[in-house]
Order: sequence, then structure tokens, then C-alpha cells
Amino acid sequence: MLQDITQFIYREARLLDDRRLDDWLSLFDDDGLYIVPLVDEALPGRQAAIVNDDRMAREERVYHLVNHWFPAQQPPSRTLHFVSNVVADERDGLWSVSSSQLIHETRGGDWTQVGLGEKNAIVARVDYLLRRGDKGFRIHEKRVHLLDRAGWQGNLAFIY
Amino acid sequence: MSRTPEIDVGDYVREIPGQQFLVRTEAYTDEDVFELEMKRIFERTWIYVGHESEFASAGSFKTAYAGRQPIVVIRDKEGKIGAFFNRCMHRGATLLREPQGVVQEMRCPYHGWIFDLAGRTRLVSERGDPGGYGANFLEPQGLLRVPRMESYRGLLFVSLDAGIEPLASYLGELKAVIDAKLDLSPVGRIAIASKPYVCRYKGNWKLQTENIVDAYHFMHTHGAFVKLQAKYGDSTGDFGVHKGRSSREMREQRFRGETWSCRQGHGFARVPAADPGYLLDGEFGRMYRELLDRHGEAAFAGITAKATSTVFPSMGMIHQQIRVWRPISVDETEVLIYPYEIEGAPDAFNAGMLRSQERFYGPSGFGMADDTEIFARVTQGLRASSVEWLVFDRGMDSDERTESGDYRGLPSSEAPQRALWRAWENMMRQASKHA
Ligand code: FES
Ligand SMILES: [Fe+2]
Repeated sequence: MLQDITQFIYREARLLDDRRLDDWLSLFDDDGLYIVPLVDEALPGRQAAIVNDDRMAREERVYHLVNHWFPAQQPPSRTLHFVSNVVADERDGLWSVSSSQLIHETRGGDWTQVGLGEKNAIVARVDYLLRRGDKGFRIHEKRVHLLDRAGWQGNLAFIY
Repeated sequence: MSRTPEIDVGDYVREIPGQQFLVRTEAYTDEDVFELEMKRIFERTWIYVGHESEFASAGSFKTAYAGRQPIVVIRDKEGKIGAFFNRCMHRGATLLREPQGVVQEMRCPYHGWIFDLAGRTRLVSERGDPGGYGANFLEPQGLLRVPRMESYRGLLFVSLDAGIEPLASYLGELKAVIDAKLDLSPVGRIAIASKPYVCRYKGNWKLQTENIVDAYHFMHTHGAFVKLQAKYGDSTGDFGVHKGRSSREMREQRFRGETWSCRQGHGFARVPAADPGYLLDGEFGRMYRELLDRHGEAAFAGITAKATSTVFPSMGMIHQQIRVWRPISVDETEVLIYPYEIEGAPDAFNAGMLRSQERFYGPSGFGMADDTEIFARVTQGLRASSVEWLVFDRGMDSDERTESGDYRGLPSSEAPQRALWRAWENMMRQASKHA
């Protein structure tokens, strides 16, 4: 089972790296969440999050990245995920999975681009709640705990 | 920082009333100008340092900066909030490092001197040790207090200039904007519950001051967001922050209302609510009807208007957020964005506002990263110092001088940007006590 889970997470990372974002969307449950918190103990509805996406919001984010020209993603980011330290436990039909991820990000243009974070290493503990159905796993929740969430951030206008 | 740059700031801003308004490139790029700004602007304006709701109990503190001078704001045992330079009186270490927190006392990490919550020296460590302090030691009485601290409806400001005009008069016409924002609360109060978004950008601090009240850039820098809004605005948590269902509607929405250039350097843009009736009958109709009853129609129009504003030089209130920015160097700036809550409003109202701000602001929001990216582009472009001037003429011919000595402009006038530069020039020309 651990191997299936690991493969699933590798594939998720690969979809992001290949910018197959519509396929990435289909990995989620309808009531799934993609969350990047700003603090560890967030009061929902009271504490701002960096990302707080339900299904519609994920769709919107992908639509924006795929269809629009906007300064923060011109040129668009390229990422490469390195996933390791995967630990999985089953609880009430949900697989609770934690992983360490090192996400290299660079704006995929040429050497003339400007802005902070020209070469970024995003380091994060990425926790998943996975649901197992007929067609394999679905993401019920993906929660990205940025290692430097308490510090200042540059441009994170892509999906990581 | 004791260096006094020898520059003549007399010709950095050129205004031909009603016709032309130019700003010199070096005002954004020259390190000597930056040094002088720290003294002549940041040491003699009112600088926002926090909101009363962030100081819940004795020992609650926040650290802040006036220009580059570190400051600590702290509530003492009597309940008074005081502001001190965040610097140990012995050999200079900052006493508190965290952005905010709660302490029993301020203990220096270097040699262990202790100051109480009111800033008084409580302990000089190992005082009588061999080679310690003698009988004639002139013990510092306590931390150096920041000369002035005042609150306007819970918003706390400090000034290093003991002789500065009172905060309420400094805020001038901008008080009306603050009042309207706070009067959205049934109890007239806001509160900060969220930690801020923190970002930095490669660019001069004045780019943020100009941009936060720039109605002109929105349809361009955020053109893609406008399209996104048309498609998803109603389904993903728009809460009136960037209302408008089509590009045309958003454009029309942006070109209503007025802009102001305040003589103290503040600027704001105010757009009346598109349809107040919609608010009265909507989900939070009860709250709005009570506000209408309490404040009357004219004030209600102000409360329901959308206003973006700056308090010169480094604080802004837009939508439901307080923003504060800090110059780090001539081409680096740190920005803090604090979403705030309307006290007494339904939880769903505050949660909705927060959701809508999460959507646009923060490092992964649909708007903010575009602005900071553009600031970096401006910084890159300004290196073409062969081009002498930046152009701030927009709307000049239609701006009107008001009785208060401010200017009122049409909705997409650059009046708010001119406010910054008029005050800037005025302050930069005046030698301060220290420089
Ligand atoms: S610097 Fe603070 S005790 Fe020495
Ligand atoms: Fe903007």
C-alpha cells in the first residue's frame, strides 16, 4: 500500500511539474481542499491563509494560470518536485500521509527576467488526506506547510 | 546614519499648477536621497505601529520601525500602551525581537539587564561583582521613550518629532475615510485577529505608497484578474472587494467617485457603492439597515463606499485591511498586510471578507504578486537614468482645490500620487534638527 501511495504522490508532483493542471484538478475529491496555511494553528475564517482552495477556487486558479497573461507569471514558473520521507497511516477510511518536499522553482523565461525569487527552493512538509475509491486514490486534502511560513514570501503565484 | 548627504532636493519635483507634474528619477534610486528621507520624512511624520486590539494584556508587545529605527510598543501593568526605542540602554542590543508576543518584562539577551513593562530599569545584572559598577554609577533610568504616541480610534501612531501636530489634525481629510471604515462596525471598532501576509519587493518604498491608491493601474496590471472576476467572481468568494461581473462593469465601477490629494501627503480614492439597495436587502441587510438608521443617509453612503487610502508616508487602509510598509534600502521594501475584522458584524461577514482578501492578496493571491513584479520592473526601468523625469500629470487640469487646502480629483486622476510628492518635496526641503 505504501508503494501505491508513494506512486500517487510522485504522479501528483509530476503533473504539477509538467503543468498538466487540468489533470491535477481531477486528482481531488469534489469536497477536497488545497491549503497553504500562514500559521500552524489557524482559526478558520479568522486567520488568513496563503492558499485556501475548495473545488471552484482550484478550478479558478488553474484557469487563471492556463489562460491568462499576468505579470507575476510572465514568464510562467517551472517547478521540479523532490518528494521523500513518505509516512502513511490509515484512519477511518482515510489515509493520512505526510511527506517532505523540496520544490525548485524558477521562472521559465530567459536571463533577462526581474523580480525576487528568480531561483527558489521551496521546502515544505506536505500532508495529504487520501481517500481510496474504485479508481484509486483521491485527494481529500493537500496541506503545504512551508518551512519558512513565518518569514516573508516572494512570488508564489503558481501551484506547488 | 549620521552622514548628512550633500544633495539639493529643491529640484526633484516640478509642478506647473494645473498643467504639469514631474518627479526626478533619482528620487527613487539615489542612496543619498534615501538617507535623507529617513531623517526628514520618517523621523517627523506619524508612523503607524499597531492597533489597540493587538495589545490584549499587560506585557503584550509589538515591534515596529520608524524608518529604520527599531521601536517596541508594549502595554504596561496599569494598562497604558507605551512606545520605546527597541534598544538596550547598556550596549545597544534590541530587547525584543519577535514581531509580537507577551512578556513579563524586557530582559536584554546580551548581559541580562532588565526593564519593566513601563520601560524603567529594574535590574542591572551582577551589579556589585568584582569589577562591577561602583557607587557613583549613573544608572540609566530606563528605555528611551519615543517622543510622541497617539491613537486615532484604536490606530496607534508614533512620531520621533516631539513638536509634530496632533495626530487627529495630521490625518486631516483622511479621518473621514478612517471613520467610514470603522463605522461599518455596529460598535465602531475593528480588531486584528489574523497574522499578516509579509512580502518584500525589489523597489523603492514610494512605489507602494503610490500604488495602493492607484486606480489607473488596475485594469492593466490586473487585467487578467478582471477577466477572472467576470468568470468566477460570484462563485469563489468575491465579497464586494473587487465587485463587477464584466470587464465593462468593473471599468465603470472604477471610474466613479473621486480621488483626493491631502496637503499632509495622504491620498485616497473613494467609489460609492454601486447599489446600496442591494446591500440593504442582501444577506447582511439587517446590519446595513441598522447602520443606515444610526448614521443617516449621507454618512451611510460613505460607510458603504469603497475607499483605498494612504496615510503618508507608510500606512494604508484599503478594503478590510491595514497595510504598512518599511523601507529597507533604496531598492528594497517590506510590506505587511493585516486583514482586520469588523467588530459586532456577523461572523459570516468577516469570514467572507477574509476569503475575498485571501483571493487577491498574499504571495499566492491573484493580485499582489503582480504589483510587486511590476515594482521590480519599474526598478529595472529607472536604471535608465538618462531619462530624467517620471510623469504625474494625469487629471491635473480637472483637480479642484478645496477649502481645506487639499485637492479633489476625478476618479482616475493621479491626485493621490501628487499628494505624496508634494508633501515629500516640502519635507525634504526643510532641514530637520538632526540633518
Ligand atoms: S547590551 Fe543589554 S545588557 Fe548589555
Ligand atoms: Fe495593484
